[in-house]
Amino acid sequence: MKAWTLFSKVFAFMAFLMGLMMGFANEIDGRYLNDIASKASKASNYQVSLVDFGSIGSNVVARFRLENGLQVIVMEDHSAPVCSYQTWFPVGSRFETMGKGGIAHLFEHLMFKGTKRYPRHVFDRMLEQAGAITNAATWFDFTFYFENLPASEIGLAVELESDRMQGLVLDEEALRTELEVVKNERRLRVENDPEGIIEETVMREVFGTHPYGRPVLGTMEDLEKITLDDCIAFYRTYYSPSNATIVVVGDVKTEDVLTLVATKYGTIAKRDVPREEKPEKPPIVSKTVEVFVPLATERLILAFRGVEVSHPDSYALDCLNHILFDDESSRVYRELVERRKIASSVDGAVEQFQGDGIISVEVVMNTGRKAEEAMDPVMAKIREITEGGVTERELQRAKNFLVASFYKAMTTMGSRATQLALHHIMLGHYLKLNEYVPNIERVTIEDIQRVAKTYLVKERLVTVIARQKK
Amino acid sequence: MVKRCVSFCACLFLSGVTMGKTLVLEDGVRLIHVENNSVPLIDVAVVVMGGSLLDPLGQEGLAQICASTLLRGTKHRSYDELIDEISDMGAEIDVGARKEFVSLSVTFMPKFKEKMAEIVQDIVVHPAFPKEEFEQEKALHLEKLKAFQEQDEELAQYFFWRFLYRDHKMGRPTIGYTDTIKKIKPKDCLDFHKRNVTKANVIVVMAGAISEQEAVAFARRITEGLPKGKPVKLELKRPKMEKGCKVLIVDKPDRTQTQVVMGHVSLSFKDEDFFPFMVGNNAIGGQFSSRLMQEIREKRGLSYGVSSGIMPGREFGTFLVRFFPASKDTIQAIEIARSVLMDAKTNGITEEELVFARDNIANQFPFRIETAKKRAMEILMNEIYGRPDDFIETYVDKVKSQSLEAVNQALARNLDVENMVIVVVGVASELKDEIRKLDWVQEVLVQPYDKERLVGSGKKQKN
Repeated sequence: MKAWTLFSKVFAFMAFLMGLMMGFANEIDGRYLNDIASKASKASNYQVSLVDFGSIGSNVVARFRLENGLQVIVMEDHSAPVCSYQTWFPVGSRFETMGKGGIAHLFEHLMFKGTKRYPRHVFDRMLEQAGAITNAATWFDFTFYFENLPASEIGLAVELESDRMQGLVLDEEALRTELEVVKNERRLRVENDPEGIIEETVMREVFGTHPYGRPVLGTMEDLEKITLDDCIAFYRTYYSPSNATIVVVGDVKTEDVLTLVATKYGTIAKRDVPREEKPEKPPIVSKTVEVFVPLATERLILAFRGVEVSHPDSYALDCLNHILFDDESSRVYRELVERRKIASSVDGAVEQFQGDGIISVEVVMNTGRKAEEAMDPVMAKIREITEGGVTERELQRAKNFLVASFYKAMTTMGSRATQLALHHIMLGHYLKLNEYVPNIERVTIEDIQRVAKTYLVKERLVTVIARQKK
Repeated sequence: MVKRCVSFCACLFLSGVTMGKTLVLEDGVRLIHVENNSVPLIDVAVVVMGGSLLDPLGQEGLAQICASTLLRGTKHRSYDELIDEISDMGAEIDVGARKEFVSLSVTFMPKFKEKMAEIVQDIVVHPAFPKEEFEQEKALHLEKLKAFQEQDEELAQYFFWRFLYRDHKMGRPTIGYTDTIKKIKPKDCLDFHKRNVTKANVIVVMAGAISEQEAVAFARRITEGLPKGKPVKLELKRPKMEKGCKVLIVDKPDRTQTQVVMGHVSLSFKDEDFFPFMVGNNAIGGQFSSRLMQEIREKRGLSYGVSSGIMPGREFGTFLVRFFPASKDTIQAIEIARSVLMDAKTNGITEEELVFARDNIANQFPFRIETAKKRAMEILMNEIYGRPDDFIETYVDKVKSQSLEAVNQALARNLDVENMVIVVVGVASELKDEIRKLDWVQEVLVQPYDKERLVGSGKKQKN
C-alpha cells in the first residue's frame, strides 16, 4: 500500500496553506498577470492567455494557456535558488486496453530514448551536467516527468521537454532493451517483493478486470505483446500539448518562464485527444481470498471499497483511517499490538483514484499467529465506532495529524509543484490545494460515524489472507 | 546566556540562503539552528553521540533497544500517556540508533512548541524503561528482525556489512541479533542512558519555523536536568582486509532476481583523496548517465538500477556498488561492473567526464541545502563525522578545483578491485558453480538467508 499511502498523504498535506491564502487571493491584481501574458506573447510570437490565478501561502500562482491547448501553471517561490519543472499528462494505465497492460509505464521509459535533435543519452547528460535531478512516474490516472534543477537552468528543461513532446525517435532496439529494464523493475517491485505481490492481489480482487484491477507495471505476458507501433500510437494519441499541463515552482520569473515555454512549445500543433470512454464502475464485491507469499509471518488485509478522490466523504475517511488504523495511537494498533500482542504492525490507508477508491488495513501478525485471529478484533473495533462513535479528542488528533502531514508534503520546490499538479489533474483545479485543510477542519464526529457505517461494512469488504509460502 | 563556539559554522549565504549556525549553550549543550518560515513546521532532533559502534560484544543491538524503549514510559508518564499526548499534537516521535549516534526526532506545528518541549524533556531526561513495556518493545523488535528477512535488498546490505567488516566494530549489526536482543535488560538501558545522555554528549538540532531565541529556550528546556557528563569518544581503527575477492551467496529460495552489493573499505572525509575520488566516482556510477548505468542498464537492460558511491566515515569509509539483475543475468552483470571499475582504476576517466562530474556535483549542490532541515543535517554531519566546519562552504570550490591527474590518481590508488567483497542474495544452486568458475574469485561462501550470523569459517574454500 506504499504508493497509496503516499498519494493520500498528498492530500493531507496540501490543504493547510489555504487559510493563509484565501483572503490574500482576492487582493491579487489580475491585470499584472495579464500584462505578463501579453509580454510573453509579444516576445515569443505565440499567444499566451491568462486563465486564472490565486495564491498558496504568500506566493501567487497563475495558470496560462497557449493556443495549442498547453496549460502552464507557474508559482514563483524565491526561498531557494532552485526550481521544479514538471510535465503532467492525465493518462495512465487506466487508459490501456486488455492484453496490452503496462504500455503507459513502458512508454514513460521510452520518453528518455532521445530525439533527432538530442539523441539517446544526450537528454540525461545535459540535464545532469546542469545539476538537474530528473525522473518520471506512471500511475493509474496520470504520468508525469520532472526536472528539479538550479533556477538559472530552467531554459534547458523547457528546450528538452518541448523537443521530446514532438520529436521522440523510437526503434526496435530501444524498445527491446527497455522492455528488459521494465521486466526487471517488475521483478524488483512485485515478483521478489512480498508487499508488491500482496498489493497486486488486493487490487485484482477488489476491482477485477477493471483497469484499476490490473497492474500499472503490466504483467510479463502483456509486456511481451507490446509492439513498436503500439508505442508510437500511444505517443501520438496522448502526448499532445492540449493534453499536457506544465507546472513550474521556484526561483523564477513568471514572464521569463512563459516566454520560454511559448517560444519552444508554440510550434507544436494542436491535436485532439480522444475522449475517454470510461469503463463502468466494477460491481462492489465481498469475498475472502488466500494468497501464498514468501513471508516471515502471516498478514491480514481488509480492503473496503471506498470512494473516488473527488468525493466529499474523502475528508471524513482520512480522519476515520487515522483514528482506527494509522499509528500507535490508533484503536486497532492498540488492540492488536499492545493489548492482545498478536501483531507487530498495523498500517491503514485511504487510497483514491479518479474513479474509485479503497480503505484498507494491513496487519502483520506475530510469529505463529494465524491471520484470522485479527479478523474479529478489527471488526469489533470498527463496530465500536459505527455504534458508539469517536471522541472529540480522537477527531482533533486526526485533524492535527493530517494538517501536519499536509505541510510535510510541501517542504521542497519539487513537492510543492507535485502537489499543485496532483490537485489539478486529480481534482480538476490546482487551487483545490487550498481547500483540503478547511475541509478537514469541517469534519464532525457525526461524519466519522456516518462514513464508518457507510463504507466499513462486510458487503464492501475484500479480505486477503496472506500465508507463508513454504 | 549563549556562548558562541569559537569554531562554529559561520553563517553561509548562498543566493540569500542562510546556512545556519552552531551555538554552544552555557552548560555545554550544542545547538544547531536553521530558521526558515516557508512552511509552518519545526523539526527537532536530539542526537546522542555514540551509537551501535559502542555496543559491547554479546550486546549487539543495545543502542537500538535503548533508543526504541525511550518511548515506553518515563518517570511521569506511562507508554499510553506518552502516545496519547504526542499524537494529540498530530506528531510521531522517531527514535533509533545509527552506528555513530542515537537520535530522537519529531516534526510538529509551532503552536505545540511548549507542550512538545515538555514531552521531549521527559523522554530524554527521565526514561523509566518499565519492565513489562520493555519486554513488549523487545518482542516487537524480534518480530522486525524476522520481517527483515522478507526484503532482499535489506538482506544484501545487511550481509555486505557483516561480510566486509567481520569482527570489526563496523561489522556489528545496529539491529542486533535475536540472541543478543533477548539478553538486554532494562538495567542495561538505564546504564546506557546514564553514560551517554549528558549535556556534553548531546546535540540538539532545530530547523524550520523557529527563531534563534526560541530554539535556545527549547534546547535548554529539553536538556534540563541532564548531568554535565563528558563527550563520548568514538575512535575506530581501520580494519585490515584480507587479499583477494570473496563472494558471499545469501541463499534464498524462489528468487527470479538477485540483489548484488560489491565493495571495499575506502576513504574518510578527512582523506586527501576524498574529493578527487568522489569526483571520479561520479563518472563511474554517480549518475544516470554514468558508466555503470550505461553499460548495465542502457546498453543491455540487465538491471533497473545500478549505482556506485562512497559512504565516508570518520576514520575510513566504504565504497560500494549495487544492482539487481535477473537471476540468469547475474554473472554477466557482476563481470561488467567489475570491468567498469577495473577500467576506471587502470585508465582513469576522460577530460569530458571530469568536466561533467565537476559540473554535476557543483550544480546539484543547492539541493543538498534546499530546506532548513537539510541545512541543519549538513551541519550535524560536520559534528558527527569530524568534518571541518567549512566543509559545506568550501565544498563546491573543492569539487571544481579537481584536475584530471588528481582524480585519476585517486581512482588508481583507491579503487581496490582485486580485493572486493561481493554479496549476492539469490538461489545459491543457480549461482555458485558459475561464480566459482570466475578466475578472479578466491572464495565463495554460501549463507542461508535466515541465519543472522555469518556461517562461513573465513577459510579458503574455493570448491
